[in-house]
Amino acid sequence: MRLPFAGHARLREQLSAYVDGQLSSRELRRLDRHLARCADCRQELDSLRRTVDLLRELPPVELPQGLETRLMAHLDHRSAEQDRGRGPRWLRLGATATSLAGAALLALVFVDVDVRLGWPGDPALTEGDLESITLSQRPYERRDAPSLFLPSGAGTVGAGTVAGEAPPRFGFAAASAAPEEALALRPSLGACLSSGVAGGPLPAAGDACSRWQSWMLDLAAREPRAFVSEFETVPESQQPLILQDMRELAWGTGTASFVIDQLRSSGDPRASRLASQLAFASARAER
Amino acid sequence: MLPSPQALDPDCELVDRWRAGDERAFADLVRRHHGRTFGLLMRMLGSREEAEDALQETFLNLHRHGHRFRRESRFGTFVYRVAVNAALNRRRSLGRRRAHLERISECQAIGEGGAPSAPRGPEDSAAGAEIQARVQAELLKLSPTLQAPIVLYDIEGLPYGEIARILGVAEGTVKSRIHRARKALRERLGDLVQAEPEVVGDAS
Repeated sequence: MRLPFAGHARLREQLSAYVDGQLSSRELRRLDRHLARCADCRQELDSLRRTVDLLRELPPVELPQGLETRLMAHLDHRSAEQDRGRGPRWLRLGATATSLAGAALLALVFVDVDVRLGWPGDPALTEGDLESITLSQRPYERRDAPSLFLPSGAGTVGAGTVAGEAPPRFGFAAASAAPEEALALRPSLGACLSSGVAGGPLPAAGDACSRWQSWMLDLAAREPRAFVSEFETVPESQQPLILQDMRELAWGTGTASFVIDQLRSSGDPRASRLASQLAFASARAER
Repeated sequence: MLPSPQALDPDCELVDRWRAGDERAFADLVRRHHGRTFGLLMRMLGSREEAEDALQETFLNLHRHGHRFRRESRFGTFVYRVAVNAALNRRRSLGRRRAHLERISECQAIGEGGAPSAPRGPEDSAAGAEIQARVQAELLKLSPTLQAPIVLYDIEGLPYGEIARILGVAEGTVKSRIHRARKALRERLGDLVQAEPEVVGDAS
């Protein structure tokens, strides 16, 4: 006969597997016999079951509005930046500064990260991953480096937006259009307005809509006054909604602080006012 | 039930196209996996902002290092693996940078605040929402080593084997961590999960 105490401790460790139905039939019989005799283990089993039930009853996580759009914009920009290494001058400068700082930082933290991540003998993820995870985690890169605007490359502007010609990498990209090309993108504004920008999940019109918004942010960074004029073509009742979406896009893609600075330094009071509205960062937290 | 990792990978075709240079296939993979991955990150990090940043990091890393993906596991597993590492990494640096408390208070609002989900049953009443917020908050206080397995198993519903691949540990380790995590969470939840004392005396 087994010592009751030793059996008790060992069987108790099997209670989770019991809850999950992961015991062999032999183990199951043994544990069932023990449970019939041991009130302590029955209570333990009961409380474990309740814990598991609570976890499984958690409601599914809500996806924040515009999540996919922001993700795509971020990927679009960052991968294009990485591939082509060109773009607006300020962007190149920013990227250079970022990578220099990154290299210095990397030298400092690499060993530390290597230990902490703990991927022993991992065949699929190697030092390169550590590097990129380390780099992309730096807060200043996310917040301060402009990261929305694609280098103009692929001819995505003009008729492209409307006719769907020359699709950007992820079917999203912001087009670095010259201000005079605004007219070509304007039909997207209609799509934005008719689909009720800020309500519900991104509708089918979302793609054109997003492009217009990305383009607008780009315009705000380069030509604040042109941006203001363009923004004023939006019916007044719709402006808050559009602005809210642009604000989320700007904060979500890490371009907000740059855009806001540009708008503020333009000297145009209307631009400053829009800057303040974009700067209202707590909107993110409220969502 | 989820198919076993050995089962045909539903992403197989897209992964092939992406590897052949079709960026749109990658975009489709992102669309397919981002929602579920965000859910996972949200459970692990508790804050929308952190989860969204980690989500971007995850897919950017995938894009950069996707060529390292091998067919030993499903693509979805690989996504989770990168995401879990992003979350663990973030949690560790978070813990150093600032008090975790504000994150936790933010996440306590998940249950009742934000857009509430459609009611599913009686447990979604006001009291239910309060309990759920508490469970989520206590979950965030678990150590990362214990939190990841329990989230993947009890909430995401992944099998032991897949969790072992995601975490890069043996299956036995996954099992024992799930057990330890449940016990730790049970202690934290206290009276919420306390078994009722048995009325009848025990048989011993």
